[in-house]
Amino acid sequence: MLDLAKFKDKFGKLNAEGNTAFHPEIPNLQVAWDSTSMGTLMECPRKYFYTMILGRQPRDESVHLTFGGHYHKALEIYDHARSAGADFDRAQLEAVRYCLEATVVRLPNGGFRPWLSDEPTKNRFTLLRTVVWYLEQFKNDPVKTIQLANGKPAVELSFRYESDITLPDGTKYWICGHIDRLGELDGSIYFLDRKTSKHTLSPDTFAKWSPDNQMDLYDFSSNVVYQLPVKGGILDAAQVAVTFSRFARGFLRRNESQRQEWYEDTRYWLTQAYYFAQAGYWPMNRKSCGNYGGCPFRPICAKPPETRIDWLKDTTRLRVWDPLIVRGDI
Amino acid sequence: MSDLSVLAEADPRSLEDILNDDPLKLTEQDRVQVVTYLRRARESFLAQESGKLTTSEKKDLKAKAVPAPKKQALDETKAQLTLDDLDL
Repeated sequence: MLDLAKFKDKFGKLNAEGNTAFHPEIPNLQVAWDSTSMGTLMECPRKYFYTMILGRQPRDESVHLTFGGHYHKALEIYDHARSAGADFDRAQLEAVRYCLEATVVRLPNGGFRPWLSDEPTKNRFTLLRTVVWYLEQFKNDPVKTIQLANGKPAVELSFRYESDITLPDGTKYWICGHIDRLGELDGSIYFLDRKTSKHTLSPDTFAKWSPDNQMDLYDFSSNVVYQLPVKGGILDAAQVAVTFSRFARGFLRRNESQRQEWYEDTRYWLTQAYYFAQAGYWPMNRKSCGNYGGCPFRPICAKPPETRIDWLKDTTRLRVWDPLIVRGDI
Repeated sequence: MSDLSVLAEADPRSLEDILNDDPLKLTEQDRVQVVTYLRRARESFLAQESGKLTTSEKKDLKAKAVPAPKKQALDETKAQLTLDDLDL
């Protein structure tokens, strides 16, 4: 059993405390799940404990996460501007403005410094170039953004719904998340997502997203939430290199039996989450330590258990993660 | 595109100057300059991809692709550069 009281004493604030995504009475039991928290649990329960229960993350945010966040936001701004009636040039300039203004750090003396990145492919310039080139590539995008019943464009949509996956006390799990865009192509509706990578684009780029928990969750959920016959996903992949950005569009399709299989797998995993919380113990998955370039918590897990709390204190900071926080429209 | 080009040609500041300026003080014209620069870079890249460029044009494209960083930024990053960064 992991002694939560010690962590509470050490860190003061824990992510699971007072978090609306957690059960109000059963300690450390998350009841609202997005693809990030679900994926972390599947990857390694101990990593889930560190990030979702304690709310710790490495002090230095991954440059890839920072880049991806700015890339998504810039294109979201473009999508909103277009749907509000702006022409292509105006909407593109709004996205560029965001990239320029969001990638500086304001200093106490009123000055600023540009975002410094140690990754040659992910910096201010490659962000601007990737956003502008992406928009040029899809200037005459055949995928048209769906207009919601409230008249707003279906862009950066936050969703949540109650599943029939039930806890012993009768509480039902919720599934939630954020979809970049819903669009129509040739009479069919798709959810759209954008990904960046420094790796060369190839058929394998899209093959690795099937199966994939995030895409499977979006596929299943978009059919449930919007009550539209969503045919599948469209993934716009960007290869970001030092001297160029390149793009490719791929389709992600699942049939009904695949969707049901994802849901049953989810039921299994969320049931596991209940038992982890009941036991107060989230075991390591030692086969995941080297994935994705190495788990950032690997140096912590490599230490003797009795010293890890101090290492966590020294090398991580609090990040509050509540999947129920709305980013865009519901 | 044509409106943007006219505006950009009026004051051709270098992209490096614009990126080193306080973004809150940048003008519409500066942002247009950024877009114009990047559109041209893309056209050059696409032409290169389709094999239409001469060797000297390819060299020119490579020189234009990344604006020269300020010395301080260069000092901070050069220790981490490897041959892989040449993107050969």
